[in-house]
Amino acid sequence: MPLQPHMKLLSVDDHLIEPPHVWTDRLPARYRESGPAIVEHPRGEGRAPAEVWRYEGRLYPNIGLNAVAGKPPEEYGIEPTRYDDMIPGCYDPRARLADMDIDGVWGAMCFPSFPRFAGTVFLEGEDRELAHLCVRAWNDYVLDEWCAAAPDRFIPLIILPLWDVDLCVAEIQRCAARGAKAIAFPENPVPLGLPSFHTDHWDPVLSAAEEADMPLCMHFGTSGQAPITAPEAPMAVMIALFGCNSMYATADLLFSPVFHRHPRLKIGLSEGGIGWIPYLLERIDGTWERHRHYQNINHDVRPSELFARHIHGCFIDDEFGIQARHAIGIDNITWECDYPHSDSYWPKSRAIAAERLAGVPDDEAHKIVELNTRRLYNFGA
Amino acid sequence: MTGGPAGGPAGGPPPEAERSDWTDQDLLTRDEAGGRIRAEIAETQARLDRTDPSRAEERAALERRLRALRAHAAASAGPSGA
Repeated sequence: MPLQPHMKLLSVDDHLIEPPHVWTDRLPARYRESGPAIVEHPRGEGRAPAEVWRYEGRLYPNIGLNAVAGKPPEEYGIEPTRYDDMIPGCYDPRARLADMDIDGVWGAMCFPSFPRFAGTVFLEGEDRELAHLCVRAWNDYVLDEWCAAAPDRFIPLIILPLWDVDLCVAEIQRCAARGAKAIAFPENPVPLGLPSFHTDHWDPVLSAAEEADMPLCMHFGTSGQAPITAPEAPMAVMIALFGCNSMYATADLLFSPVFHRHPRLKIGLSEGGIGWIPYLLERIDGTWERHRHYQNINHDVRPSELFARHIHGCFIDDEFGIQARHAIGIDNITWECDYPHSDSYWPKSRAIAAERLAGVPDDEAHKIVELNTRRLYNFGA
Repeated sequence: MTGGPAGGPAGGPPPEAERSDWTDQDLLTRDEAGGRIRAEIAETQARLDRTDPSRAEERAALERRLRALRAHAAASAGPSGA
């Protein structure tokens, strides 16, 4: 019985749905009109209007992402929804705690929804001052309201004003002083029009993250680049390939100067699964062995050693990953449940985790579901 | 894949034409969550019914789980009772 009652499940990849007041309560009066606010959008006769975010006059459909109310999985689609379609645990931290209780989950780190998983929606802001205030407002909401509802159960994750390195550093320092534990960061900044990990552009940000001992959490999809093979390919292709974004991020980072310049930096690959890690590390090490001599990459440290020191992954349901846990590194594996997205196993996440970890020794299971997360995120018991 | 500028009610593409940054984001809505809770209650009740009375500790755990599930369902029932 590897998953014992005293082991507290900590999920490193959950999501919160921003309630309407996040920005309207925090932005100065001059920005109330142009800052993010919920507005109704007609959906045709006989249908309640959708509730959508409006930001600088642009409408964004993903208040809470996609409704699946009353639909079988084969009819899940993409359309806006309304708050009253959602269970309150999506946007109310106290209701969330009740949902976590019934799910057997003790703690959670929650990514944004409307701002996207690394806050990249604010890169689209025409007014940079407003965008900066919006980033700060989201972080203040997380620190002052969401996580404050249960500081021993919610792991505070922040977003950054990614268009300005100095502002990023200041925001890391400001939020670290207020108890933030992790930073959402794009898995690849380049598709967003930002400099790559192969430049020195991000060094001040990475140094600030090191100094604060806050992992950068790279949720798949945060590059804004989806693994689409053809315009007419069914969405199933993209869904099946989601984890490839985490593979790209891994290779990109391991062959970059990032870990050589920042020896204490920690990276979390969020929602990418873990089963692929041994294969990719073997491939990356082989590439390094054969091809490092004529390339501008580090010649001294095997990439797999860098992975072991710097990168951790997580999984919801990954049989191959659990079998390969020693090749991945027991200390580099964390657990997630992805609430409130419907691919989570709620309300039986704990029961499913217990099934999947049934063949894993107690001490290893404890590390995977709780202790690694406490260590990596400085989240005390 | 990201939600960029979109038209409003007055014209242009409706927000439905836009995608959020990922598409694995179907939410646990009231109906979806209510259905899952009801299924879990039924499954737990069936397990309890199958559990021999001599296994008191296991039965007690299942009964606690059932009470918690029913309390959660009652507390989170929406207008539709989901």
